[in-house]
Amino acid sequence: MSGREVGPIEEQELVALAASGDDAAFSELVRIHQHEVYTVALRMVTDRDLAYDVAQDAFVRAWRAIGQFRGDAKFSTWMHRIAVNTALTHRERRKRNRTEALDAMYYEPVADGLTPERAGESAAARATLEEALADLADPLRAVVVMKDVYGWSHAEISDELGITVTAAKVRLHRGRKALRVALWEYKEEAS
Amino acid sequence: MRPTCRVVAIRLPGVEDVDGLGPRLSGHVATCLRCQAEAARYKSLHRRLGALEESTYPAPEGFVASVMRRLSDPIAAMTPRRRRQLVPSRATIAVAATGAAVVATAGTLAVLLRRLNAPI
Repeated sequence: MSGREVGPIEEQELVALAASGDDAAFSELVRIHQHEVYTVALRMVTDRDLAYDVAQDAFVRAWRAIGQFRGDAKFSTWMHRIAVNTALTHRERRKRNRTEALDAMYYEPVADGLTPERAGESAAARATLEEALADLADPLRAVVVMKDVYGWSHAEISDELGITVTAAKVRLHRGRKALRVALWEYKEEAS
Repeated sequence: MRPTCRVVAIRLPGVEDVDGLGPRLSGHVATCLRCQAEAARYKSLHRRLGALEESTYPAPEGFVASVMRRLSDPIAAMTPRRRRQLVPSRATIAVAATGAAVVATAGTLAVLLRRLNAPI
């Protein structure tokens, strides 16, 4: 459920209007991208209330900075970056609300635009994966979400997190390994 | 587990597919059922994580209106949690009230003592 589909030209027009101060155009952009941005926030912080705050903050930041949006990337990509950045700044608050976190992901996401192959993924399997993601330590989950869910490069991740590319790779390695262990019983035979 | 299988298991989480292991290890995987199974798990993990991008959680009801209100009136559209953070808690109020009472009492005592000690 990502709102009414708009073409790239129409979206560029909305962005241009919003950049000139047209809040109705910005409202339309929020309506179109609200679910994606909320989902990015929820995957990053794993707490529904906090994700709401993060997503709202992300759009407020976007409104303030929309004049700087150059249009060389998709608006959704730009919003993802803002949402991730906002989520990272909320990390400390999330730690204080840790006990609320784990039940936050257990409701059904809305999948749209899925290929038949992806539509075959059962909701239960997806929920299990989301649960395993939510159980990862914050630094590992952030990297796995950015790289493996949203396709960021290691360089982009290292920029955003303020860590080296090597550190990003190490976190990704550890995060994937932890997910593999969580999703499949890990039996290592003695050599 | 053979040493090469162990190396493959260690390296697999860091690569996007088996080819990323390099020719020697990927050659081993091609002949080792155990490593093929492990590689298949990571392949499945990559596919499932990638598929998450296309599934979204619905934003709460009234999200858009709340964002737009917040652009013009930041406090009115704050979430209950954030508003609570702006309002002092009962404990904070109690501590402040106690502090004020202590200061007032001390001040009163100081005035009284000064009057008692003042020359007649």
